[in-house]
Amino acid sequence: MKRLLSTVLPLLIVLANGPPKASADEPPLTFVGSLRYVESGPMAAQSGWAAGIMWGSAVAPVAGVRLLSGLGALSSLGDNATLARLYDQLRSTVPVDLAGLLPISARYDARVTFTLVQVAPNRLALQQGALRWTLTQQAELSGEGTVISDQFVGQGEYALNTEHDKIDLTFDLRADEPTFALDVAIAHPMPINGLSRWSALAGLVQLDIRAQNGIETFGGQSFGEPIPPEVVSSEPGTHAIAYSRSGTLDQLSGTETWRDVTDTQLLVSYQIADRCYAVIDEPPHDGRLTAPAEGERSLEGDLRATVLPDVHASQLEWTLPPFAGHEPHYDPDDRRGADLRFWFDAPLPGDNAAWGPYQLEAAFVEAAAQACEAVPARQVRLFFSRDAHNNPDGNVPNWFYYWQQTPAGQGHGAAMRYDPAEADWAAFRGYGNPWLADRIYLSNLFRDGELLLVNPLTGQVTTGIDAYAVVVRHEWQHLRDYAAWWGQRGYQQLTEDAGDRDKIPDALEPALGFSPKLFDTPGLGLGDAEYSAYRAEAGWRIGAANAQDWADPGKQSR
Amino acid sequence: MKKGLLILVIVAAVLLLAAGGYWLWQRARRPDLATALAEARRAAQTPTPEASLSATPAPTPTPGLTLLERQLTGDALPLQYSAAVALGERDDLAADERARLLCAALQAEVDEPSTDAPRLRDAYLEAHEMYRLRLTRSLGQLGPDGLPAVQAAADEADGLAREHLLVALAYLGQNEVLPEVRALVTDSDDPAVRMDAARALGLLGDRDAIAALTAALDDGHCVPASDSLGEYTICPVRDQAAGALDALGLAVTRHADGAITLEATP
Repeated sequence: MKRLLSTVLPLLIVLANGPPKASADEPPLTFVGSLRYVESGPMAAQSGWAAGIMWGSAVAPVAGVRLLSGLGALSSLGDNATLARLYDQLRSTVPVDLAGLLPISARYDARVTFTLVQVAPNRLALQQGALRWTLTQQAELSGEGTVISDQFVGQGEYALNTEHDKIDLTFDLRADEPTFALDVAIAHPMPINGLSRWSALAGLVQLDIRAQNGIETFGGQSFGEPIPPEVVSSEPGTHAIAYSRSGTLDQLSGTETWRDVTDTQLLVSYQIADRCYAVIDEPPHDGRLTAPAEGERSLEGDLRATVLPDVHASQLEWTLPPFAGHEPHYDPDDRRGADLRFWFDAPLPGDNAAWGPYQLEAAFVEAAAQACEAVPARQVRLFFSRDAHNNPDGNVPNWFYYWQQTPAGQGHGAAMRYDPAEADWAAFRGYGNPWLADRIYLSNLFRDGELLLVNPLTGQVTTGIDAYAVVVRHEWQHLRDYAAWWGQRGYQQLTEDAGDRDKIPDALEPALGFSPKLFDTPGLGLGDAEYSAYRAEAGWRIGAANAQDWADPGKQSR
Repeated sequence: MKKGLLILVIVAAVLLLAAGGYWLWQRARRPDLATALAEARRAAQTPTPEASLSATPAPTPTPGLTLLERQLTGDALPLQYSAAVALGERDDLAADERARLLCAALQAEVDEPSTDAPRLRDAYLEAHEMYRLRLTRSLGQLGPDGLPAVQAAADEADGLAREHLLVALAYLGQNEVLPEVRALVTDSDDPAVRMDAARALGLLGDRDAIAALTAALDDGHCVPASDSLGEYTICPVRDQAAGALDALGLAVTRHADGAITLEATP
């Protein structure tokens, strides 16, 4: 019995300690992050007569009532209530808008960047950080010869103190979907400058509070007698930031905004990541960049990235390769930032191969080059506007100009002419005009919008560049048939095609399966010569030119 | 007593071991922080469906009956026409099903003609006329397996739909319908039916149709059309009647003014 217990118990004790710990050599995880915290409203006020009066007479009483009467309803918020929901609940108890009612304008804006280090398996704590803040405060009360006004501004930087300031990030990995909890508590000195003046009896009495780097001095004058300056506060005031948030791991970046019990608008935007990196948002992966249909620019677009933490955004530098031999322009010029615009001041390229895959790059430079991960290159696809005429020729639509360079043009190049006046989609005009027997004409295939063709013999349906290809093939077959059937002597309707005017020499028709006496031997609604051309369309393999189609809209643009 | 206690302790120990093992197993399943973050990052970087789609385009499937039916019942005539062609040729699909779809499409087209559809390229007939001809020809391609369904549809139909179905039955070799088809050559109000009936009779070698076909040489339906040679006029019923007579061994002469006459039998 004792032996059994002596075997089992140690085993259970070992088990209770869990699986073996990760190697001691494994460095602790570090996270980087940024947080922006903005207060806009009474809560942001730092000092002054006016602010004090308003706080005492309105802000504090309302806030107090809201807190007292709203606390009872908080239990209904559930476990994962956000601050926004909490304050919405509290504010609903006294439905007034203090920020709108009171003549006070105050704004506090802080940006915090920080590094967290792993201090326990699922917990990270503040390692270092910095906060930059600005404050503006204006307020004025007046009436019956009395004017009370506050004018304060301030800005500064503060290095986070790991002993007093807290940014804790804890993870709960037990659930199916791991969650995090973020707790921020920072208090920093806020040395402000400015003046708060209480002027009574039309200026006979004037009480001032001056702030100079946070040191406040009381003074003024009473009925012409100066009041000696007296330091009332030798230390600058402090401003506190308190924020907590929990959520799933995909919410490690987020923004939250709400109004607190004093009707101060708060905005918190935070980004936390286990590394510094950038993700290119615009243009999207494999995205489409289409050349403008008109104007001097061959390409233009936006370059946007999400940089975590965003303090490194100014050190993100973009590089776009030349397009058709031309270098890009950027705004801003230094091509740095998370939000840029680029363009090429150049005509469209003459070569269809210039369109298509195009790789742009963004890279961190300067200090961020060491701190941040390399940014994967972004491949996009360049397209021309299908129906525009801004190709180097300028007289034909872009689809006609560029598609003839693709397999869909079937090598006919200069033998294809564009004639928007052609009533049909396309035509071979050699029968009536022998001197035109070396070319085919294409009309504006997209005059009615999208082109949807059906081959009445095969039922093959074509659109876009495929429709273009079968039209070219169809008309080219007419050209070939003309050469084969009529050759040098030219079309002889009266003597050799008199039987039915179907453009096939009567003598040849039986061998071709047609009747020399019928215009439409198969009786499907087409002249006999059309059947040969329609059969030739079947030689086009649908999709054969898709890879070279850089028209927008086109086969690859969707 | 002592033995019972020992058993109890052993059972308790086994249960404890099992519980401990389960707890350990559950703990082992939990990811560490780095793993959880890596998974979250991976999930965030999964390519969008659109991007995935463009990277690997799916092959175009061979349309089945459902897709063909959807095409036929749509409102894009090129697609309807394409489906009609396919249904005539797709021997891998049941003939009675193909017949059902084609007959339904024919009835729908008769009920609500596609008169707004533009002409097909280089065609001299209107698109809705070509479409009805196509449906009729496809029905005529179905073979014996499709015959009962076409026959049943013809029995139930009336008007223009029935006329086309009779011609389809003629193409399917149903000699019983020939008297009615002969009458259609001259009596149908629809020129597409008249021309197709004439063609079918010639194809079938129906010598009893010679009178009707000869009469059709005077059919007055002529349509203007144009091609690269300019404008022209074609009289499709006359043409098909001439073709049929020619197929029946009778000589016809096309005159310069477009008239077609039957040469006197020697």
